[in-house]
Amino acid sequence: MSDSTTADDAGRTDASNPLVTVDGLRTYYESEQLVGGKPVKAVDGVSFEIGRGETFGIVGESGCGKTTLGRSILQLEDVDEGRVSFDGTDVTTLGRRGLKEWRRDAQMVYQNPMSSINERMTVGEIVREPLEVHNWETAASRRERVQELLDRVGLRPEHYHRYPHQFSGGQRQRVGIARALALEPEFIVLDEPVSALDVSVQAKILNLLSDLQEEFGLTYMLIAHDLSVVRHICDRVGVMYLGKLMEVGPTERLFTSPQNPYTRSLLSAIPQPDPDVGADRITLRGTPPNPRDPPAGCVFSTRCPFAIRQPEHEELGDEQWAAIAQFRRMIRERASSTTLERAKQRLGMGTQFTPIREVAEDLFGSLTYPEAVEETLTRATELVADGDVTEARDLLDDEFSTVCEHESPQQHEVGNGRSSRCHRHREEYREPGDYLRDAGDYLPE
Amino acid sequence: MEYTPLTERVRATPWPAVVWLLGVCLLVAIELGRIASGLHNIGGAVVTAAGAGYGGLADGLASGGTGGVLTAVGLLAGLWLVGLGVVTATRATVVLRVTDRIPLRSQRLLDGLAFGLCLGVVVGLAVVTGAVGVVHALGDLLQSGVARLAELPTLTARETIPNQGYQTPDGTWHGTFFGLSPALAWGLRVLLIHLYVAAWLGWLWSGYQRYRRHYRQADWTPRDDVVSRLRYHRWGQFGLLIVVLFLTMAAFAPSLGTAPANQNIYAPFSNSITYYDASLGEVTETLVGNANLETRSQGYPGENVSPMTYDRFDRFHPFGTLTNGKDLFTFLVHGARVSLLIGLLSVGASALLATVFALISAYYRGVADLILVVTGDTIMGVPRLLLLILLTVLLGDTWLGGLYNGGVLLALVLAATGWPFLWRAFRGPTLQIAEEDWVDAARSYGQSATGIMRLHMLPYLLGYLLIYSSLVLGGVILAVAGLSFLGLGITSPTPEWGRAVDLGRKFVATESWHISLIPGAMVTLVVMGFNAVGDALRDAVDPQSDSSVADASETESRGGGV
Ligand code: SF4
Repeated sequence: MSDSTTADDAGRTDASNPLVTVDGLRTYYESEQLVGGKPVKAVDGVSFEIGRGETFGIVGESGCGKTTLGRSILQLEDVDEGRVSFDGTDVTTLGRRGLKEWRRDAQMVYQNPMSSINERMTVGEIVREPLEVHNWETAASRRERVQELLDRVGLRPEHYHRYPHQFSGGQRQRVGIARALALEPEFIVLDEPVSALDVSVQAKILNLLSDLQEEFGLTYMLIAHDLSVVRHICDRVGVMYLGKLMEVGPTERLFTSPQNPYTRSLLSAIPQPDPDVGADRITLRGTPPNPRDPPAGCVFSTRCPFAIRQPEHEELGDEQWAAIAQFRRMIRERASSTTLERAKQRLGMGTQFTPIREVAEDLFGSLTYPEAVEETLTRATELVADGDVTEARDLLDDEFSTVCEHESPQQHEVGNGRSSRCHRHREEYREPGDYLRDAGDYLPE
Repeated sequence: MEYTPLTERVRATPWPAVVWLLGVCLLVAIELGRIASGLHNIGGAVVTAAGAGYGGLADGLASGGTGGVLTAVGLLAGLWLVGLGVVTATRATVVLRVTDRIPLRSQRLLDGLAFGLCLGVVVGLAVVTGAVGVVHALGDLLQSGVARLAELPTLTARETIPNQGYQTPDGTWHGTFFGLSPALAWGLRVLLIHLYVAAWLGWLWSGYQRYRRHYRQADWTPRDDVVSRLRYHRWGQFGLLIVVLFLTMAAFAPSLGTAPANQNIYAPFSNSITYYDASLGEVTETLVGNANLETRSQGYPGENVSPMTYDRFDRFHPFGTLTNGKDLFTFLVHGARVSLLIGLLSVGASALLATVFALISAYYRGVADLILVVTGDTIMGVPRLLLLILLTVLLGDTWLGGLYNGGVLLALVLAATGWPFLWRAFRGPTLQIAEEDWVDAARSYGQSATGIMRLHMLPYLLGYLLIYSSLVLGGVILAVAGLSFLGLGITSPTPEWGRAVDLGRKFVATESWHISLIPGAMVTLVVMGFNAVGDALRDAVDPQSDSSVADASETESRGGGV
């Protein structure tokens, strides 16, 4: 962890010998339904490395799978596929005993200090437990170590016998940190360590973590949704969306010149009057899709303002294009609603969909389209009105769908140790940045 | 303030502890004989049960067929459980290292099995080679030592304050304590016993206070809140009072009774009493059985001994007599023992099962949970009375049925049919606890499954355990009484409250109303007491848990709804 001024210095970490290497990691949650449910792809093919002594940040909206990623790396979730190498050993294949040994080296600090420590134990017992589990030397030396740890994280010796009931959130989080440090780990996953705390306390805890990293040579993986925290603390950052790592790169460069369309959107979504941050006016349309049913191609394609279009639609204005995207989204939604829902609707029991003609009028009324497009839209509207929702969807797909919608993008190296997952980095398409400049509407600078 | 072990803290300020321990010694000393004889009895019972159990096992295995297979499976399961316990308690690494080599997910199961089998083999070898004889001899030595202690006089013993005697025409009493009337002597003894119990309770409370003031290092613990909330819970205190009275009754039954149980209830025709026969004009002796025949309560003035009266043999009957002339009070205090024993045994067993199963289903979820849900619901689906009758009749002739006049069997059957009710009450909260981050955190630093269940889940369940156990205990007492009332369960002559109610049923509206009404009222009161304690515990442990009220009453009514 270092300040933002030196964060750019990629040479700080030893890239040739990473501590943690994650390779094609997949973690799926089985659906709760007994039959016919699809698994939730919480983490879907994520690869990255974390160098020794580095602070690697993971950002993303809530529900993007970042916490699951952290827990999967620590083997707290059943990983479905992929490898997690720690210091050269693949920890996904460790046996019970090996795993227990390895847990000494990799710890976690939890988000909510109210529920992450057991209130029926005294602070001393809480911090001592990992030591007992791993048979740390003698009983006396365990107690000594706990006292030492309490002192180190800024608690007083008499707190040893206190119960967490009497503690503030910040103090509890210190207890959690002391517990994570107890076994002298090398690597700690910090799962939103300050997001549940008062703003005044956040800085103190972050400084503590920073000091500890320096003192013990720790490697951190910081999971956060607060971009300012990430920017302040992390050496490198990964941006996650719907189980995929969209972009990875050194913090400052990623924040000042984001490559991936999602990163741009995310950065502009936070009100941050920072002139460095590009693309202030890009807005994220709609909500993230249901992770149970992610889009087929690029996971971001349903909301991407940069999505690649078929050549004949290039000249459409952004507003026009957005209206079409919205229209297709709604029709897709209707098409995927179950038979039961549709039956309910017929009987007037379900939530009523707005009549399609009104929707079309709303979306396209004030816009003009080239003739061919106009015609397709009208036909689709008629099809839906006649009840052929799927046919309408297919028609629209034929006309408008692109590589973004049916092919999952690769992770492209985009220079300076950065990689981004987007088709626009391919030769045949224009880079997101270039595209943006040409499009005019979004021009940030 | 560094952590120091308790022994050191005591060494630093020894006086409060020393004074307290001296008090305990004094309290133990004046009742040493009773405590020793209690231990002696328990030891004897355990040996008998173990012998019967071993005999049953050996028979079962020898008989072959389905019975043999069932016995073998049961034996294996038992060994596995024991092995699991050993593994958890000792965290021995030798066997773990071996089983770790086996590439299976459920290594825990193997650990338990390995340890259990080792244990089984050792015990089996001991039996075969006769090493058991050594254990036997040691046990006998211990038994005889305790038996000698048991002969020491005690403060509250019947012998210290005798209340059985006779009155000569001049009005003087012979054979009683200082020539007091039997009623007074008996009352004195009862008072003394309750004072003794009160002294113990007060001393324990003072011990807790001393510990808090002088030795405890934490200045506050979550239990402090529980205690302080209990201090203002009047309804709970009322319940506690009744429960304490009931427990006293059970614990001190032999000296609370106006006559020894053996003399009055079990073997009246082998014991005799002396009394002053007015027609003969002299002190004569008669068999208790014969005397009982003349003191029966049969519902009309000529043949009735009411509460708080003497019969014509100068025997005092605080609660009157039964239809067969036995003393109702003596019958009831010994009945309390039976009820309590069955209650504790069955609630203990079902609470244990329910807790373990709740922990398992919450921690492992999935298949384990499903199996338990199906099993539990199946048991709950069958009418409980039917199951009870069926099992009691089926197993009545086995060695199990012979233990404690069928009491042990009844307790086990009640436990086997009753755990799903408790388990259902525990499962919800346990599932919630298993979701907590601290459980996950414990996993993240390598705590074992059993360790997590014990340290991070069980403490949160303990409150529920106490609450529901006390609620169910009342239900079990009611159930046992109900079964005896129906003529099932505990066999005559072992005293049981329900049978007293049954005996007096015909005479409720007559002179002999006391036979049914007094025990009936006592059952009601005791059940109420346990429920009040349960309610108080719930309020104290979990002040916000109003939602569980509906749940509790359901368990309670179903627990007792036999
Ligand atoms: S692949 Fe297409 S949809 Fe996905 S981020 Fe790139 S431009 Fe947007």
